[in-house]
Amino acid sequence: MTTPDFSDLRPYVEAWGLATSAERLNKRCNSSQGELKAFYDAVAPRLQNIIDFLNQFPLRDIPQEHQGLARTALAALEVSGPVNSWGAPLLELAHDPREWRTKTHYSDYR
Amino acid sequence: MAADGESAPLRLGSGLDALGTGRISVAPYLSASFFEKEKEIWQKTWVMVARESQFAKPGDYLTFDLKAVNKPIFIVLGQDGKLRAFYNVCQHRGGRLLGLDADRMRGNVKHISCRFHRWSYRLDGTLMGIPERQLFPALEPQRELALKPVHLDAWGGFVFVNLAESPAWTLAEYLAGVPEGLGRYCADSAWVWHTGFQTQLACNWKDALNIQHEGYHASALHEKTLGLRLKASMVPVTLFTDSPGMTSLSTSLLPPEAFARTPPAIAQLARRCSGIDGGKLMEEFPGAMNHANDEHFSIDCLTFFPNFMIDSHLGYFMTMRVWPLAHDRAELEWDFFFRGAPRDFGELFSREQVVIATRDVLTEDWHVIEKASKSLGAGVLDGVHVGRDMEASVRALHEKLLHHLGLTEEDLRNDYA
Repeated sequence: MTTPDFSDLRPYVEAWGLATSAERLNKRCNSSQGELKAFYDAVAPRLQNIIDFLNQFPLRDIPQEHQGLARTALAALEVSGPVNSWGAPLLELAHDPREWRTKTHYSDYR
Repeated sequence: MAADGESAPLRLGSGLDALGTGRISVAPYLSASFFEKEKEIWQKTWVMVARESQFAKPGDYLTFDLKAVNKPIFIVLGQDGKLRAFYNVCQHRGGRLLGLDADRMRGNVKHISCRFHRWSYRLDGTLMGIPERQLFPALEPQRELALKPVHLDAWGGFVFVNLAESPAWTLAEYLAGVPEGLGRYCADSAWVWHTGFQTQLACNWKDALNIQHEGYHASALHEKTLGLRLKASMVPVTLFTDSPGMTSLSTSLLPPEAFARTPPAIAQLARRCSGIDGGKLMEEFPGAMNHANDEHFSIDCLTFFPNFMIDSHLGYFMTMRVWPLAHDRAELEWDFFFRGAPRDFGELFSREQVVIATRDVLTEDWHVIEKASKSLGAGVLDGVHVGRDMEASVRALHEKLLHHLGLTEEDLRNDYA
């Protein structure tokens, strides 16, 4: 299969292709609104192409060289709220979700 | 309930007329002495603590403390494939049997052995061995030395325990009114736990439930996140006034006019990638949700007394559990279940969108209830106003609690003011 050309996204993949949801949230919270908007505006129009491309692989077998692209698409979801809905990296008058614990199981009581 | 044990079909909006009117007292949300009184509900109601799917092989166990009443409990799958719950207390001198540190809160054991003096028990709780048995010449019969059991039953793949010596209701009786199809839907083996959040809040545990099961706040508080303009007719509330354990069902219908603005294109893209065939699911699980068969059905939010909630969407569901720690402190767990592992990246993308969007809405909910709890705690108000219809589940929970405690509004004013 041919790989569509996503090379123009390379700087964004380098910055946002972070492995975990927590890292992507952290990156969002530590970015300026201008940075979020520049990232989102570059990636959002390409999301359908990225998903179509990555959907050709079984999820577990997405080649290593495309993992960053996949994570970058997920990062766009993290940035959608600030860019599309409330105009700032963090919601005002809200909890900081970085202070919550991400669970490891349904019942991981402590 | 209809004859022959069959549930009558659910009628949205029923039960509202049985509710009281007028202000409700604030004591149940603020008072430390009420919190002490309230502890008795954890000793008699059915409390959801786990999923059956967490116990795959004999010996798989899970330990936890029911913190409101400080009861250490464990659940273990027996050799006979039966799930049982016991107090996590050795019959000898009270040693903690399982879960001695954070790494051992769950796992697998062949039998249960107390670290203190190595008294041991089989997975069915019967006594297996006592080292130097002759030290105990006056020991009672074996039967008396078995681990103290806790009643356990399951519905919808969820494991419930009841701490009463002899529960007043079976779990099925307790859940009277729960949509029959929902149990089969939630119990389906396709469900996979995806992720979850846990945090503590400076508010009463019921505040945390109340903000999730009333739709009245959504248009105001979530103006920036959800962007909805909800009318009462879009959030029909059904109350289970005669049920011991079912509190309310708050349904959200989102016709086009419910949206104050168009959802972002990325959210719509995520939805298209979800792989969820809502029509097929509703055919496969009749009566699980969308009880009004409305084309704009979005969510069924079902509250189980005391502290469990299921947010059932087409193709995924979320649960919330709230654990009281004090009258003004609660621990929350919010979890996401989807059907099977994601098959492709698009499905993963769709699930991530659900988690992020939900999380951001919850950050607003949990912030505002902490502030409200604090200002309410200033003692300026001795009662609050609760609306009908889309806010009625708040009063329903209040009344269910008072009913279980055998208290009236007057008692609250007289004894807990």
